[in-house]
Amino acid sequence: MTHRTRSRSLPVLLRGSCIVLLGIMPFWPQAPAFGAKAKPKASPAPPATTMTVEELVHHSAQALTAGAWQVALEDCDALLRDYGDRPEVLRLKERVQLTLLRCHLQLGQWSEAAPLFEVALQHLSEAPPAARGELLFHKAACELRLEQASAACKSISASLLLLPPAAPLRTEAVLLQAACLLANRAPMQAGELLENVLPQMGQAAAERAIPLGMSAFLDAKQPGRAGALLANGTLQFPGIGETIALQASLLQAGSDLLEEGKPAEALACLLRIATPQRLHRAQQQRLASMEKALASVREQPGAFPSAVSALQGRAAQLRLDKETLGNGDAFAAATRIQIAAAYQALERPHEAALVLEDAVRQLPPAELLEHACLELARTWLQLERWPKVVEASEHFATAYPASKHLPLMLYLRGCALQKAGLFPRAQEVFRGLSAEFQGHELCANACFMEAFTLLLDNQTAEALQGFASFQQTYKKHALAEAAAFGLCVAQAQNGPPSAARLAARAYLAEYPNGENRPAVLLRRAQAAYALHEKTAAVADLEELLASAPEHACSGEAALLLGDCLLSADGVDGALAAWSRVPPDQYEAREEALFKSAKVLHRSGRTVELRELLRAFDSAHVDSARLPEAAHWLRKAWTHEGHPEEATKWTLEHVALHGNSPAAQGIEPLLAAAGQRVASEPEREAWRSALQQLAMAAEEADQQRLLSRLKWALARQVAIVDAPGAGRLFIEAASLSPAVLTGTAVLADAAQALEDTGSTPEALRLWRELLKWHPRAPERDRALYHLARLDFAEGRQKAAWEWVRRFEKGVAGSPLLPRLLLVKGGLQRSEGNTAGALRSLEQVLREKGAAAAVKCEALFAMGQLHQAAGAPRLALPYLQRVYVSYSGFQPWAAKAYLASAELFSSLGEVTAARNTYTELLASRLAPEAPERAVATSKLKALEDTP
Amino acid sequence: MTLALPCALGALLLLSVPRVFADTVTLAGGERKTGRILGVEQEEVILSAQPVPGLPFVELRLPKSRLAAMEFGENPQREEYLQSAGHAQLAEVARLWERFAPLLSVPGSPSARIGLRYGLLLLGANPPKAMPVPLAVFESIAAAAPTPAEREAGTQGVLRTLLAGGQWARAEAEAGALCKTASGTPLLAEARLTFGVVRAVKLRAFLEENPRWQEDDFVRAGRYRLYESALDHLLGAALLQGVPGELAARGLRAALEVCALAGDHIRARAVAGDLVVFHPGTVEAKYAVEWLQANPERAQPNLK
Repeated sequence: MTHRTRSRSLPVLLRGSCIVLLGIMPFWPQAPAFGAKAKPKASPAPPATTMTVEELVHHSAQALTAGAWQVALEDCDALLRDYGDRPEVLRLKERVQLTLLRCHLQLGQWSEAAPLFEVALQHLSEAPPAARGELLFHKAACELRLEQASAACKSISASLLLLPPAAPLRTEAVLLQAACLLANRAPMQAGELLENVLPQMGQAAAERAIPLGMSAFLDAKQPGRAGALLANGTLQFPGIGETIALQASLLQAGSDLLEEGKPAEALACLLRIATPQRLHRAQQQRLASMEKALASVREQPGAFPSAVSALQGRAAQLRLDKETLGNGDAFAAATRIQIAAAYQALERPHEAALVLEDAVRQLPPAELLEHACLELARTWLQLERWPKVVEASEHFATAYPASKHLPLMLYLRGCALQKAGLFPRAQEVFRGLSAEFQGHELCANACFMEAFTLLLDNQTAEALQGFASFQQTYKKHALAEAAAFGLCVAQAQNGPPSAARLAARAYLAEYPNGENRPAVLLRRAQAAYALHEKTAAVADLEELLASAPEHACSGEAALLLGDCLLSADGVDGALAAWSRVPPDQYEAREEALFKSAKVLHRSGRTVELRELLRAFDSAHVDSARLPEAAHWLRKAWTHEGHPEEATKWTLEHVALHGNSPAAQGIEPLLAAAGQRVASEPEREAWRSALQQLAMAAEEADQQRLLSRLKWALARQVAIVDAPGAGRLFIEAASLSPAVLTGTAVLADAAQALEDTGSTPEALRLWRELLKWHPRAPERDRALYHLARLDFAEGRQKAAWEWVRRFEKGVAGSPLLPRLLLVKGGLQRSEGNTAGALRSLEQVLREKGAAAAVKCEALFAMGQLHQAAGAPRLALPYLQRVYVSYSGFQPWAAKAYLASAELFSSLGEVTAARNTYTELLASRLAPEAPERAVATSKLKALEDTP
Repeated sequence: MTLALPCALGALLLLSVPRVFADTVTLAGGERKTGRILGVEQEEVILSAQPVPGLPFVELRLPKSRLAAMEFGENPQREEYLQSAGHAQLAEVARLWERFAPLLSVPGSPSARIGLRYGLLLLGANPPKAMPVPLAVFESIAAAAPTPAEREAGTQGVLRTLLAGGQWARAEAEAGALCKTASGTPLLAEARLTFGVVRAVKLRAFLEENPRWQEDDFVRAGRYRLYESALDHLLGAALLQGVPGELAARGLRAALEVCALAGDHIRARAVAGDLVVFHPGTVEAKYAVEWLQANPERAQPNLK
């Protein structure tokens, strides 16, 4: 990722603070030599030359006790300068120099202090090792300050040799030794030293040791050991992680590991990084504790000024770290980008996208995040999460309106919208991009994509214009060939064939070796065929099949070639062409086979036809077109005078393959065979054959086959005994689980259950049908019945769901008018009169709608108008029912009564009387209740003037 | 001469910062009483105090209406007790909550911490039918606790209770709203986790109802929506920067279960690996190890 290098500056800066932190070393310079119980104030110093030796010694001691280091320093200087040759001063000289050393150290005058250490060490040559060890410790610290790393290393090593194992200063000395080694360019030694001593450390020391150790290992290019040091430290001290220095080291370790190609190890570090808010809180708490401690120390009588200064130093460092972190946004952004990069490296783009998304949403806009947002959109695109791409792009446009990457983001948005099927919005985005960023390199892509989107949206005329415009503007663009192909496709869809041929010809001339050459050849052939120029079509198709026999469109080409050759070269040429369909193009292969069957039948080549279908029988066992094969086989056998052979073949095929759940053509095959038996003896023979097969299936425990055979038998029984057939249907469906049962069996059983009033069971079976066979040919039946039954039982929401599924999935079904009745009912029940009327009008427009359905729709429309307070509008609909559909007596009678009632309510008594009279004169059955109603109403109206 | 100073001075200095361990009650008249507040019973605040230093502690009962203010000092023993309290202490913690619930809104009171522990113990111990009790406890903390952190913790408890009680619709609504508004990392993570779990429940129901969703053009998109939404929220909870380890592990475990449910074994393995590597020693990591053992690497069915 390009942003990785950017993220390094901050951690490096913060990591530096580790060293500074250590450099403060809170416990030195140390206490004054002459400790005092009280905390006297140093009296104002008279001029040094006016004081005696005794006065100077006393005055400097007072100053030391009061922490007035500068005064003490000046006193000691005056003592040596003015009275240095006196014997009493010579005796005190070494002690005075020690005091000077202490003062210089306290005042941070490292270069002045350094030469005095030798005197001090000489003076303490007889002192206990611990005291000398402490002095060497301070010498090393001083040398480190003076950047004399090598000398510091020697001093601290000597110090550690002298300090007893239990000396309180020992831990500090180890930390100082690590710092010296790090400064002396021995980071590995420093890291290993700290790694070894960490288990023996306390919490406070570990808080400093871990960042220092991590820093050392990072310098030694050992980020893995840096991460491990933290992991071990965290296990030992659970609350240790939240110091800014440590977190910065973590980020650095993670980045380094990532660069080393170890994303999993990088994540182990990066995922430990806390939020800046939390770091701020932790740092604030530390600072507050430190300040409380400071206040407390200041109030203590006789407190060591060096302790105050040490605490002040640490507090200052904490403040500095806080300031360096700032509001933490850059740190947080860098962290998240590195985490995302690690997940990307692990080929886990989803996690990467989620991390980036959080960063982009939660942090204020910044340059680093601008790149992150771009990366986010790309990652979502890679994951095919189109709405997320759009969201990221929209966020980008709002947060970075002046970014140079805005065109790219808009382009990605357009692509995502197109992929999501939101074509108009995609077009708008592409168009906007081209208009707003004229001259940008992506304008060409946007122009192409706009035209392509129009093509996908079936706006072929507009797509044509778009591709043509692209060709004019961007002749040499990488997408020019694709645009030329798009033009061919659009032209082929938009017509006329001559124009399509011209477009194809232009493509083939411009791109003789173009990627889309086979597809263009096919389109040119199709155009030629449409123009009855079969020779030209054959030439193109032959070229296509010769140059790209395995191409996706070669099956289609072979089919067309056969059609072309049929008239020219006769049957054999066509058969040869159809046999060239590649075997892996299953649907085209079947189509070629049935085309061949048709031609062979027409030419009376029945033996060849039977051979062809035998091949189909073995190779296409699971085909849904099995009944079609049976049809042609029957034709062949009938032509040869043995139609019974076809029935025999059917029964053999059923017996052989009928127990396989995948053999979806069995039910249609049985249904077709059953429909063909016309006479009663034939029916009897057919039933008998089915029963025999069923017995065999039962004996062989072939439940699936048995179910199919019982279903086929039920269809035969239905002709004479509907209730008996219903029972058989239900029995057939119960023989195997729904997942293994044929869809026709399930649908007929559900219908039978519905007919017998077992609505819950019917509902369950319809649902099972859809659940296990979502692509079943009977899904329109299932959806319609489910919608109707749920509506009838008041489950509006569920009913709507089925209606929507029907409209989306099977809108071309002949059951659509019936479904529209249900939809109208639903709308009416919700008070949506206009919607209901639209649905019912659609019923009337449907050509395939049954008369009974139209009757019901008209009556419902009349009722709707009546309910809406428009009786005049209702009357024509009701009248149309009994005028146009008088044969549908129940509806006609209802319409008569409703119409007459309306006339009465409008005060048109004569019209009402006439309507009742007409009803009584109609062919309505004498026992129909509407007759009695009409008679009584008519009588009542007779008394009305 | 010596330059020595006790090395532990810094630490000692820090320790010497005065800490207040006693609670103080200020009566309406201004009188202050110091001791240990033991809670409220029958509108009376019980204060355990020494009448005179050296004498045994006695329990003073002060009518709540007569109190002007209460200040709570530190009580490390009680905090430690709450931290370590398990199901065996449920009855005791319940009594403690009963006494401290009336002081929930008093700044500095330990009521919220007691209630949170009590609620979590109830969640772990009870069958779903008893969910109204922890729900009420957490809801009261979410509404009345004095600090935002405590209120957020109470809301987290509410979400957990809703999940544990199978109140999917309410859990989804509340978590969905919090996903948009919560600012604190733990609460945001809890909200995402809750929302993701509800989506996972919906996905399970969807798959039961549509076992052949791949063949069904109408429902296919719905499956992707549910799966992606569940995974976005669960992984999103685990990946939030600074998310508490316990929440991250729960999020990853739920994500692992969703991946497994959806038959996305490659991703499930990756998530299980995260649990093992980044959350070692947790219950969730143990589950991941078992899952990995039970589901050896195999070819991924094409689900896209």
